[in-house]
Amino acid sequence: MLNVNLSEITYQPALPIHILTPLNVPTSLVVPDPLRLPVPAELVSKPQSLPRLERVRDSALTIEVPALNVQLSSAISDISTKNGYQEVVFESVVDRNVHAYLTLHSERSNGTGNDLQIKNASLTFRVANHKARTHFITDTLYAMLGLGGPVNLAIPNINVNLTLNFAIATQEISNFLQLRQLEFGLLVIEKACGLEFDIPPHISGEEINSTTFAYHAIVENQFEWRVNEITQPTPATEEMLFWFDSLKPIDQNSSVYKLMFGPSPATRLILGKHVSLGQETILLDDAVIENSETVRRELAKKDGHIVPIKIRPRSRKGRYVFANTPRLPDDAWDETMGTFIAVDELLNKALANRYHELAFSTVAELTHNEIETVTTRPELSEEAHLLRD
Amino acid sequence: MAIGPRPPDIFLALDNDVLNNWRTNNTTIVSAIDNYVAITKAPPALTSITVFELMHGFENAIVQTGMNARLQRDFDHARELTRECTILPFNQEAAEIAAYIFPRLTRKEKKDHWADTLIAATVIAHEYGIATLNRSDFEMLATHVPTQYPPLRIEVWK
Repeated sequence: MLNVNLSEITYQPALPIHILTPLNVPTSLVVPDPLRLPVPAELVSKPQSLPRLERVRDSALTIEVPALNVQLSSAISDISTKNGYQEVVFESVVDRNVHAYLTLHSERSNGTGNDLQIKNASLTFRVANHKARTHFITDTLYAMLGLGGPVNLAIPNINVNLTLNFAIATQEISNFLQLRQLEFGLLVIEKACGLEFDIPPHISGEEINSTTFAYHAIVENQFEWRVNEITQPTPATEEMLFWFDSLKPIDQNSSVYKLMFGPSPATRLILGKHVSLGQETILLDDAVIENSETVRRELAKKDGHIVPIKIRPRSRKGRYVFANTPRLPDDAWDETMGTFIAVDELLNKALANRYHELAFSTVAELTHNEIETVTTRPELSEEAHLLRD
Repeated sequence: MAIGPRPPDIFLALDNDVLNNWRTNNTTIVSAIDNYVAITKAPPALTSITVFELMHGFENAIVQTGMNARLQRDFDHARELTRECTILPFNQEAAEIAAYIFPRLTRKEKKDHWADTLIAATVIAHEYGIATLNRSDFEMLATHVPTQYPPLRIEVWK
């Protein structure tokens, strides 16, 4: 938490301001098609016979990811079969709007008998709506499948026990985790502000930026954020001229000031909804007033015309301090959400390990001398730099 | 509540020295990347200049000793790594920033830091920071950055 010493700050007159948002907003995110293709899996455990399905009623589908310390169990709600049981699909409800479909592909064990052997499997999750919770859980599930290593899928009542490796590309997992992170931010805003968002198929960089900002306002109350420029439309009056002339630079002979804007009501537009964040104060530690001589000349006319004062923090950062901000309730999350939140650290580590393995593999087979060669920076000859200083 | 979205001013590109230490399993860099991935859910970016340096290393080895199967496999892995990372291109804006900085360097600085100049210009143009082992080199370059740009964000991973 940042400590703000208000006594150091030069107060601003209470005027509306325009803040220039970051030039580079975050990259937009594409939400995967909810009717996505099943994730194919390689069967790691021994092939097993497809059991009789009569006893499947009242049974559960268990998904266990040992590497992530996760075990989920949900009642099987439906079964469908194709091609004389060669394809069996078990449907279960993981969360109220997240359905899991486990498809078992079987073949006759010796090509002729009646005994069907499970040869491979696939799993897909489908969402029944586009709420933040539904997508957060689904994206977490896909990330878990991709990063969890061997996954145990079981239907205990009929003795189906399969160990499977799911193949999901690292870039896709990274995208799931980025979406999940944003969806968690939306969930926090929902819980704190009593709202409910619909997740669109495409989330723009501006929406990501607004969501992130609102999330930090609610969770942290004080934080640093990008401020490229603040424009303060100021009337040319005696009062404003006095204010301008009274500004004290942080060092003698410098034209850098500590300035404060607000408090003023703060709202952000997030996925089509106005989110009220309470009172917002912006503190600049290293503000520079552009064209200060011209600004003073205009203010000195004292004719009431509006002088746009452009203020730019040298660091391009400001400290935002919020008051009366909506709060996240202490009991915001139920047990299911708790499970999916708790897995965050292990998912992060598993993703990082994928990148580490790839980075290490770029020199894994090389000798010491070869590593020396491949990691040496290119050098230009002496003559290449014969440029006049 | 660490799992929520993070501010935009956290993205970093790796300098060549950090990238090489990562490739050779330096524990400090591995730990820094762990922290970075936990925040961004993606690997640090590379500038196109850093990719040039990475690829140059392999091509240089091939010129010196010839291609072999081991080298080929690790070269392929290096290409795969660059596909996983965001690559920041040396675009028009980066070119203009580099063009501003380079003539303001001394002859020695030009010789020693021509690649760093291009890397610094690229990260500034894309509003990224740089993760490096060498703060002083980039601080020196930062003093020459045109004033209309934000200061160069330097993180030392040592």
